[in-house]
Order: sequence, then C-alpha cells, then structure tokens
Amino acid sequence: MRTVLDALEARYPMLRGTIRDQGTLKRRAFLRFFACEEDWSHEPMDKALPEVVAEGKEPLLVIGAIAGGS
Amino acid sequence: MSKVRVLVGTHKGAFILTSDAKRDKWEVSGPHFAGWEIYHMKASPVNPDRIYASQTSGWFGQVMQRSNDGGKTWEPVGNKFVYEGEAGTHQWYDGTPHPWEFKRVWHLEPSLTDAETVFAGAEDAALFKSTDGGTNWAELPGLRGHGTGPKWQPGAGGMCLHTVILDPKDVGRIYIAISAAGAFRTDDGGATWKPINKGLHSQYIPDPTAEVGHCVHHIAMNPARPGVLFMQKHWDVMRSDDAGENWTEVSGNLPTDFGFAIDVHTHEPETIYVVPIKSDSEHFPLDGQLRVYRSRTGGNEWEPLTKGLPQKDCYVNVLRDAMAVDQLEKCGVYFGTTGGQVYASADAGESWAPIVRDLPKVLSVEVQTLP
Repeated sequence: MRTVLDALEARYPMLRGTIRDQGTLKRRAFLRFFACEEDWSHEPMDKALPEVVAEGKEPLLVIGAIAGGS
Repeated sequence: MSKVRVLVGTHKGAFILTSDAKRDKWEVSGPHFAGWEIYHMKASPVNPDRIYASQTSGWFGQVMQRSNDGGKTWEPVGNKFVYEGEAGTHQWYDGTPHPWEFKRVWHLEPSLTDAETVFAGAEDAALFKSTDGGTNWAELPGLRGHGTGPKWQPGAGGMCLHTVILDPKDVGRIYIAISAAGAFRTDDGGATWKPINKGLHSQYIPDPTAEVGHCVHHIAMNPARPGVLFMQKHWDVMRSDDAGENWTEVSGNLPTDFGFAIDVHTHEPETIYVVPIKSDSEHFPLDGQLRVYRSRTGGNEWEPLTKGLPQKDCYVNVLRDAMAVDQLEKCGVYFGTTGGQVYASADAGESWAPIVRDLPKVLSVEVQTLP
C-alpha cells in the first residue's frame, strides 16, 4: 500500500495530507482502504497488496468513511 | 463604476457574491469546493484577482486553494503545515500537557505589499507564512517559542489563531489573537513576540488578569489608525489606544457584551460594530432579535441597528470572522450568520437587507472593493 500511495501522491501532489497525515504518513482517521472487497484500513502499510491489485486488474479503493458528519 | 465582491466561507463550500456600488442587486457564485468547510477566504490587496482559501474537512484534512482570476477558477497549493523543531506541548482542557497538533487553517492574511506573501493562522495555534503564493509554508516559531506557549489552553472551539492584523505603517508589526490564549504582537516581522493582554479581565480563569489565558474572540483595526485596536472578548468589548499595551473596557450600554464579530467603519475610525450574543452558553441574540450595535464614540455609547434585520424568532450566531466592511464612500457593512444568511448594509448600518438567506452555516465574510 505504501508504494501505491507514494506513487499517487507523487503524481498528484495536491493529495498529500488528504489520505495520510503529512508528518506521520498514517492513514487519516476517516479514510478507509479496500482491496478485493476486504477492508485493508488496519493492515500494515508495507503488507503486499493482492496480486490482482498489484497487476492493475483490481483497484485499491480509498474511500471517505461513511460517517454522519454534519 | 466600483464593484464589491463578498467572499463567504461556509460549512459546506465557498460563495462569492458580487454587486455594483449600489449594492442592491447581487450575483451569487458557488458553491465552490462543495461539501468542504471553507474557514476563510481573503484576497490580496495588491492583486485583487489573487484570492486564498482555507478548505478543510474531517475526512481529508487541510487543502489550500488559490485563485488568480477573482474566484472563477482555483488551484490547490501547498498544504504542509509543520511546527518547527520540537513541537512541545500546550495545556489541554484539563490542564494536562498536550502535544501540538495541526488541525486546520482558521484565517488567511495576505501581505499588504506582495501578492505572493500570505500569513495563515492555524489550530493548534501557530502562525505560518508563505512567500510563494501558498506553495510552501513555514512557521514563525517565535510566537509559540516566546515563553508562554506551554500555558496556552484551547477554548471550546479549539486552540485557534483566528486573527492576524498587519500594520500598514510598520511592516514589522503584526497583531494576532488566539482562543483562548489572548492577543500577541510582534514588532520585528514575527521573530519575537509578546503578550498584549494587560487590562483584560477574565473571571473564569484562576488569575483573572493573567498574562495569557484570555479568550479573545476577535480584534479589529482601522488601517488609518494602526495603533488603535478594538477587541471582542469572551465577555467584554475592549479598546487599546497604544498598540495593545493597555486595554480598557468599552462595553458601556450594550445589552450583553458577549459576542464574536467586531469591525470598524472604513472612514470613521471611532465607529465600531458588534453583534451582541446572549451569553457563552446561549449563542444567539437576546430575545430572538438580531441586532447589530454601533458605537460612534469608539465604544461605551452604543445604538442598536435593526432596520431590515429579523426582530423575532431569530436564533442565529455571527462567528468571529463573519463580519466585514467595504471601502466605498458610504461604507458598506456585511455579516453572515450560522443560519446561512448574509446581510449587507450600504449605508453604514442604517438599514440592512439579505444578499442570500439559505446558505450553509457561514464561517467567514470578507469583502473586496474593486475599481
């Protein structure tokens, strides 16, 4: 996941700080990661993504938590 | 003919309202950044087409936006706000040490002389500066580091640096205010700072006249008289005639001296405006009557301004950065409410009319006077 997010932020610098905290690079609390219908939000950043995601056949989804907000 | 452009930050996006000098017919543009909290938008006085915006959300954090065409189009710029060095701690609500954590930018203050330079007041309280149009931000660490920082404590809305005032006659002098630490001043461009809270009295803190710990809600200054400041505090309206060295209370005959917003007439430096709010637990006008109060004597003697404002069943608030004045000959006064209305007066407050009624909660209002 880390390399995917690094590449995403390198290509789209305006996303820095919006998915991961600028300083700690930890996932922002109200963001969630999904891959192959599994919640990857609490997986270690350096854990290898499923092969189908790494091969570009399936996406890594970065989604704002469905929290009520105001 | 001159035009005015009102920049409105709301809980769910930004709106830009434009009119000619008559200020009776308005065009509404927006929502820009729909769904995001726009804490503040402000334009450069050097290049009125350059506008900066603070865009924030609980999901995605802080984004900074910049427009080069008066708000028609926007581009994201730098959003990295890092406390310099060892960030240290401030007091938490319970008095325990709490690490400094960046949450959002509350206020943007473009330089008076350079369109690429802009200051950002942040929560947790700190002052940042960019000299490249918002691409990069650096903290002015002397503020947190001057000695009182560890004693600062958040107010209910967070420990926010919400007011930044640049002295037009002294490039090194900047005033800032923090909820709930108080007011501070630098005379050397931000290298060193001092608290300027002498004369403030806050009964709810252990030492009511302490050097820091006062909940300053907002400060206003007329650029023609940079040493004269007006403050709306958590209770009390205050005045300083010596650049904040000393403050005196000027609440006078206000029906309640709690409130958030305060501003000064563009051409009459002794004419000030506040919106009295019932109390610190009931953030709405007294008796359901939305009244702006004006003093033409620099405080103490106040008159209610009600024409065109709802005088029954009105329970909105006006937040600290949600009032502004224009520079037209007949000074225009504007304010936005938590109920989503933006009111304008084209006659210095004698009469009011809503520009819009049904926006999301208004967080901030600024106005540009354009040639």
